Formats: sequence, structure tokens, C-alpha cells
Amino acid sequence: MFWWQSLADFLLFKEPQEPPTEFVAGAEDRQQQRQERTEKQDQKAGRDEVQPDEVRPAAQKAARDAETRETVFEMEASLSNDLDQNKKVLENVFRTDINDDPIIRVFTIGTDNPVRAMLVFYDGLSNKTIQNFAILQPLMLLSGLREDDPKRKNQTDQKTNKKQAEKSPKGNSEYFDRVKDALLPGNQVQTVTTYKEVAAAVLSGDSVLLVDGSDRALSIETKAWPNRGVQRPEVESVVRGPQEAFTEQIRINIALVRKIIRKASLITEFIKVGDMTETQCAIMYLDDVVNPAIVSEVKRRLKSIKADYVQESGLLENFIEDKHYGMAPQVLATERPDRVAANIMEGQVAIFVNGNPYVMIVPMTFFGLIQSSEDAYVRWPFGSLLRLVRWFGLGLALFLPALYIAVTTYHQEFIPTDLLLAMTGAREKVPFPTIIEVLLMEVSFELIREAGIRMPGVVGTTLGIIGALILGQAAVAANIVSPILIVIVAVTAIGGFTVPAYGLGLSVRMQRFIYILLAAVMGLFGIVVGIFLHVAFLVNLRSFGVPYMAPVAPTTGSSPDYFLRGPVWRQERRPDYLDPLRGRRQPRISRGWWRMRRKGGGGS
Amino acid sequence: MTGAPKVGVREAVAVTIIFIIAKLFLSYQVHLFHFAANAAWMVPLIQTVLTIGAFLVLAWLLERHPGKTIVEIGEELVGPVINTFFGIILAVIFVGLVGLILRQFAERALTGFIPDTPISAVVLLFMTGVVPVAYLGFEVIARTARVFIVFLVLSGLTVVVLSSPLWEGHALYPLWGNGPVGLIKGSLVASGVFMEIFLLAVIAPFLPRGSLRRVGFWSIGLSGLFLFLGVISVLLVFSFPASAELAVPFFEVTRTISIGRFGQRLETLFLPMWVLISLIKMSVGLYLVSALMARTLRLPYYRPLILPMAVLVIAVAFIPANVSEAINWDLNVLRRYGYVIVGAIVVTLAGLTWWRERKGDEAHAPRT
Repeated sequence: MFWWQSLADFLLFKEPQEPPTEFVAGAEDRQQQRQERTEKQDQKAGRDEVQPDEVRPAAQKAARDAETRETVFEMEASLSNDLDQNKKVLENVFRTDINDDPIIRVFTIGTDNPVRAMLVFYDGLSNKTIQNFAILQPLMLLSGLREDDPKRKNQTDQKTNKKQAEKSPKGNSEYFDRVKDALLPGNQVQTVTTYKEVAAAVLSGDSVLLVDGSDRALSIETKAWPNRGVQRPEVESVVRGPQEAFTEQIRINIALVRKIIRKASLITEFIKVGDMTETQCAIMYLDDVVNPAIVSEVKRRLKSIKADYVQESGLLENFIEDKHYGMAPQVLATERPDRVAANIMEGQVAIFVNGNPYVMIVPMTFFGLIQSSEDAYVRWPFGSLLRLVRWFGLGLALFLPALYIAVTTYHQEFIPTDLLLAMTGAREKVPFPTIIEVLLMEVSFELIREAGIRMPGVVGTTLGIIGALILGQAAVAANIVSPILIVIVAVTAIGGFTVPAYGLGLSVRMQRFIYILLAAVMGLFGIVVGIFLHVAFLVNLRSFGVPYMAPVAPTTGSSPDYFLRGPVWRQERRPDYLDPLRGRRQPRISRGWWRMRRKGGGGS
Repeated sequence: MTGAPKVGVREAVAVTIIFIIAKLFLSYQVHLFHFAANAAWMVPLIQTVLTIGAFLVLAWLLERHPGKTIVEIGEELVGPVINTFFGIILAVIFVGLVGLILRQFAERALTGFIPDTPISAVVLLFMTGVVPVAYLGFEVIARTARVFIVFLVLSGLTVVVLSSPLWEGHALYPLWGNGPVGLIKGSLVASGVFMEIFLLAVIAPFLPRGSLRRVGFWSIGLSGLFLFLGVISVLLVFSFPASAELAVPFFEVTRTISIGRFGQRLETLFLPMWVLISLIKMSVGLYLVSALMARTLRLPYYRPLILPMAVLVIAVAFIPANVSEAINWDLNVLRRYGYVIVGAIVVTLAGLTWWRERKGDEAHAPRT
């Protein structure tokens, strides 16, 4: 079909006579894949080629299998006493006919009365050493070393066991308990009773032991996911302070925080989020500090999420934030365990997502997003200075290009004469109005920044050279922009990099363009109207019920640690807006030695 | 109303101060120079004392009816028909006030900063900022005012301090200006400058229990102080009678500031102060008239009234033919007679409350 025919069909609302070429190709691919899969199944079943008459029974079998799987999961069917029946169902659940990852290892427990058992696990997710030396070896080889239960001496063989299982509604219950209590040296062993639980445990990397004659199974901790070790923080680096960052392993992340806060009241609660694949999440808080209403609100939001797949903390943030259309981030995502620990100690709640090196902290205020761990790790005057620099950087990143447009377009009288002459001279050959000039440079800079992140590391330096040449030299030489604008854009970019929270940085980048447009339309007047609306929207915002602009609006009690960083010995109270169970962080006189020295000094 | 907003003492003080002193950035001082001459700086102080007296009556009334606004109190005391009349009168006065203020601010923004822009565009931009914030409610307005008040006060004080090299001490003399009698008479006539304290009669239920007097005294006291500084700085820089000829005296003070050769024409630096104070003032005003009307008409929500009231305010803003007429309407008509009407309504309701209480006491008194 020629292109003009397609166009005519489109204009006349005609249905295409034949499907587009791409779709045909896609269909062929899918057909081929299906055929290959069927052949593979047939080979496993010992058949060389598929007979046309056998296609229908195969499809019926597949439908039956799918139905069984649905029943097993949706109805949460219980395990059977019969090992063979369990094996059959689990083979169906894990699709062992086409899936090579799940392993079902059938063996015999070497007690005086040998009993058949089965170990189910996923290859690659579980630790082979633990399986061999802490599960299979004790059960197969060492189980006879212990004296058997006298009751069991009378049982002669496996058949007897099975008969007893049939008589008893609980099955081979005593034998199962004995395996759990005496024969398995694993550190974490949990009893499961449904196929769904077995599947969940196996998919988490645990090994599940099923014993013939018992309708229960044992989930044994053998997780061995591949993961990277604890490394230095990449986004929130500090000069002075701990140099550890979270990893993708939730357990390691929890341990990193627990290593800092060694308190029995530090609670970790696991919550699974997602329907299709359950993502392991955890919340962490100090039971004797945090406001219980905040904890229950966090749990309520997490448990209520209905979604197929929430594998990343950013996605979860979208699900749990209060306002979805505002640009301000309402949670803090951090990669630093010390920061999480400090916030938990304040009375906030940390949310961990498995597979993610960022931990979220809620509730979060605007002032919390401007803080960095280092503010607290240096002496307080320098901490305050760092924070002042950051506030200044935030202001530059948000307003500098807009102010440049406003002043050069509407309020030239504000510019001192000498500077005005210099600026006019520099802009003389530039053909564009200031707004075009600024947008050109800002968009170019955004492109370079985005490309810098996506570009492979080996060609990163090339980008730097291109960016410097385009932005720094060529644009000025070509009279596209004035040199003073290069300074404005560069200072704005540097200001943007001082914003410590990545989410806030993104929001600043976006809002900058809004202010640029307001400045172009109404000058400084437009910018101020924008600021007024911006602040009003921020004070209207809440993070998990806590006002976003607290402790300024509303004014609530707080230690001197929101705008600037006060001395550590004056950080006596936890923030009132969190309404913690323990309001006081330290006594009014926290430096006991100071009092003692004064007393001593007075006496001498 | 959508829920009950909660406003802390500091937020309430911030918003009331801004609502009262915004006129300082318009032609308020000129009005004072005309009848008090060199003693104009005393007028805000006298008016502060007078307003505290008026506020005590209002506070007494509101405290006798805890959890109620002036409209609900009126309904209880004078019945729905008369109260609807009261409510509509109050709403009309404040719509007029906000409309005239909008016109004056728009004109000043136009002449001072963006001279080539049509006034309708300036008014529209003002209302673009005001309407959403008024829609979000009083809690948001008060918190926004709390965020900005530090900046506004610092900016205002900076103007006063930076203008100090130009101060002339002799501008204060003759000390009593046109004489003490004229001074007091003028102060009484112009007491409408504090009419905005009536805001507390509508927001009283949102305040923490027992904090109404604290909010009132702080608001009136600090407003009086800022108005005093605003008048005396103009007087000291320009002296009388030159100060009475200025269109926007405080703006002219900012234009006189110079810090060496580099720091000239700094009025743009103080433009945010101008715009922010007017935006907050008009947001409060728009909320106030919408809430007054909603309560008068016994509507559960004020929000549907925001846009119609905004249209009314804009319409009022364009009634005066020019800015001089707008100033005249604001200072010589609306404030002069408006505060008498508002005061009369408050005094009537207070009198009725007192009479009822007395009657109740007599009824419950043991007969001998």
C-alpha cells in the first residue's frame, strides 16, 4: 500500500485493509515464540514432534493448570498430607515444565523410620552452603544420631507413618515437630500451611521443606540474593561524618540504622505492598518517642495500596503523598543511615523499600528538606553558615534568571548607570529579547544536565567539553546570548546544586521556568504575585497531617534548628508539630561538666 | 465554612496588623498632614488609644458569646431579618473598602513600576494572586501573613533607617501642629483607619480559647507603632507642608534613599513589600466579605461566594474616575462614616447583650 492510499484511508475514516507491517512482524514473532515453547514442552514430555490432534488436549491441560493455580492462590488452599500431591501442585504453581529456576529436591529423612521429604527452592536466590550443611546433611545423614522419641520406636516403617497420618486429622504432626525442633539447625524456621505461603517463601529466597504425611511445611531462611555491599554515599556526601550509604538489601539497610540506634524500642514492622509481586517494605520508628497517630497513618496508607508493582521508593512516594498536584516533595528520600537515625530520634517514621538504596522519612517539612547531615556535624556557627549558603543558593536557583529578566525589561532604573551601560553594551549585538535569550540558555543547560546523567561514563568528558564550548564561548561569539547571561545561568546552576534534597532540586528547576514567564509578563510585580501564591500553596500543604511550613506557619515550639543551626546544647526539645510522646530531647542543662566546673570554680 | 480553621495567636496578630497598616503604603499620611500638620505623628498614637477602647467593647461582646461570629451574635440578639440587614451593610462597607484599596494599589503599581501596562491587566494580576488564596481559607491567609510579616517589617524598618540621614528635627515643630483641639477632633474623625480591627469579630471563633484580647491588644499596639513610624519618617524627611503634597508619601521616602553612588533609585528593592502587603490585605478583605455574606445568608460554605465577591470588588475598583476620587471615597466617605456604622452595630449588639444579662440577673435574683 502506498502512503497516499493510507493517507486517503485515514482522511476518509476507512478501516485499513490489512494490518500494518509492524504488527504482522510482531505477530510472527509471538507465534514463533509460542511454537518454540510448545516444542520445548513436548521435548520434556519425550515427544519429538507435535501431532495436530494433541494440540487441543494440551490447551485444555494448560487451562486446567491455570485454573488450579488460580484456585491455589486465590482460595489460599492448604497443603496436603500427601507429598506427591504437594509436589504436583507446586510443580504446577512454579511451572517447572517450562521454568528451569525452581528446584524440587525429593529425598528421605534418615531417621530410624525413614520418611520422604521434599525441599523446594529457587536456584540463585538461596544459599547452597546452608542448604547442604544445615538442611540436607542433618536430615539425611545426621538425623539418626539423636535418640528417637520412644513412641516412634514402635513405628516400623514409612507405611506405618502414612497410616497414622491418615488417621490423625493433623497428619504426621509429632514427626514434623521433631524435625522442626531437633533436626534442623537453621536460625530462622517458620511453619507455613498454604501453597501461597510456600510460593512466597520460595520466591523470597527461602527453602521450604515438606514432609510426607504432614499438611504443614517449614520455611527455612536461606536467602542469598546477589547484592552490592555498603558503599559511600553518592548523592549526599559529606566531608565530616559517617561515610556509609544504604544498599538495595532491606535487611542490610535496617541493620545500618539499628547499628546507630541501639534501643529495644526501635521497632521494625514489615508490610508487603503490591498485588502482582509483593514488594517488601518496612517501617521503622521509636515506639516510646513517635506519635502513634503518625505510625498508624503510615501503616494505613501503605496497607491500602492496590497496585501490581511498586518496586521503587519513588513509586511508593507517589502512592502515599498527601497532595499529588503540588510540586513540593512531601517526603524526604535519603541514602544516609545517620540521617534516618537522626529523624527517627526526632519522632519521625522511616519507610524502607526492598531493592532500593533510598529510605523515605515522613512526615517531612520544607525546612527539613533544606537541611544536610553535615550541618550538625560541624560546630554550630559553621553549620549555620552552611545553611545560610544553602538558602541563598535556593534563592538564586529559583529567582535569579527571573530577576534578570524583570530588571532588564521593566526596572532598568534600578541598575546603577555604569552597570547598565556595561550590560547594554554586552547586549547590543544580541538580536533576541531577554526572555528568548534566557529561555535558550536555560533549556540548553537543562539538556546538558539531563544528557550528563544519561550519558555513559566513558563519554561524559566529551559532554563537558561540548557544553562548555556551546554555553561558554560559541554562543557569545555567535551573538546569540550576552556574556552576562552566561554568568547568570552559571550562578543559577551552582545555586541549584546547593539544594540538598534531589526532589526539592527538581521542583526548583521546574518552578524557575514559571518565575521566568511571570517576570517576562509583569516584571518584578509578576514574580512577587508568584511568590505569594507559592507560599500560600506551601502553607496549605501537609505531610502526613503535619503542616509543611511548620514550625514557622503555624508557629510551633521547636529547638533552634529549622532556619539556621543552633548550638547542640540548645537542641533541647523535639519539634512540637510532630507531637512526640517525649517532647524533651535533653535536659535544660545538658552539659553537666559546665555546671560542675562553675561550682568548683566558685568554691576555689 | 469548610471545617473550622485553627489560627494561632501569632498568625492572627500578623494578619490583623497587615490588614490594618496596609494603608500606610498608600495616601494615609497625606490625610493626616492635612488636619494635624506637624503634629500628624501624634494621630496614630491617639487613634491607638481610642481603638483599644473600641476593641474592649467588641471583645466584651464576643466573649459573652463564645464560638460565635458577629453575624451569629446578631442573629441571636436581633433576629434574622434585622441581622440580614446588618450583615449586608457590613459586607457592602468592606466590599467598598477592598475595592477602593485595590484601585489605589493598582494605580500606584502602575505609576511607580509598570507605567506602560493597562490598569485592567494590573487589577487582573492582583486578583489572580488574591482569589486562590482567599479560596484556600483564612488559615492559609493567616499562615501566609505569618511567613511574610518578618520580611515586611524588616523591609519597612530598613526604609525608615536608611532615610534617617535626611531627617530634619525641626520638622516636628510647632509641636502641636494646628493645636490640641484640632488634633483630637481630627483623630476622632479619622479613627476609621483602624476599622479593620473588625476582622476579629469574624475570626474570633478560630482563635485559641481566651486569646482574643491578647490578639487584639498586640495587633492594635503594633499597628499603632508601625503607623507612627510611617508618619514620622515621612514628616522628618519632607517636613510640613511639603509632605502633604505627596501622592504616596512612603514610596517617596524610598525614592530618596541613596547609599553612595551605586545605591540609587532603590524603590524597586522595596516593590515586593508593596505588592505583598496589598495582596495579603486584599486576600483577607475578600475572605472577610465572602465569610460575612455566607454567614448572613446562612450558607454552609463561603467558597462559592469568592468569585462573585471578587467580581464586585473589581467593579467597585473601577467606579471612581481616577485615583484621587478613589482616595477621597476611601478616606473621606467610607472610613469616616463606615466606622460609625460598624461601631453602631457593635455597640447596639453589646447594649442588647448587657440588657439581656441584666434582665436575666433580675429574673434569677432571689425575691425578698
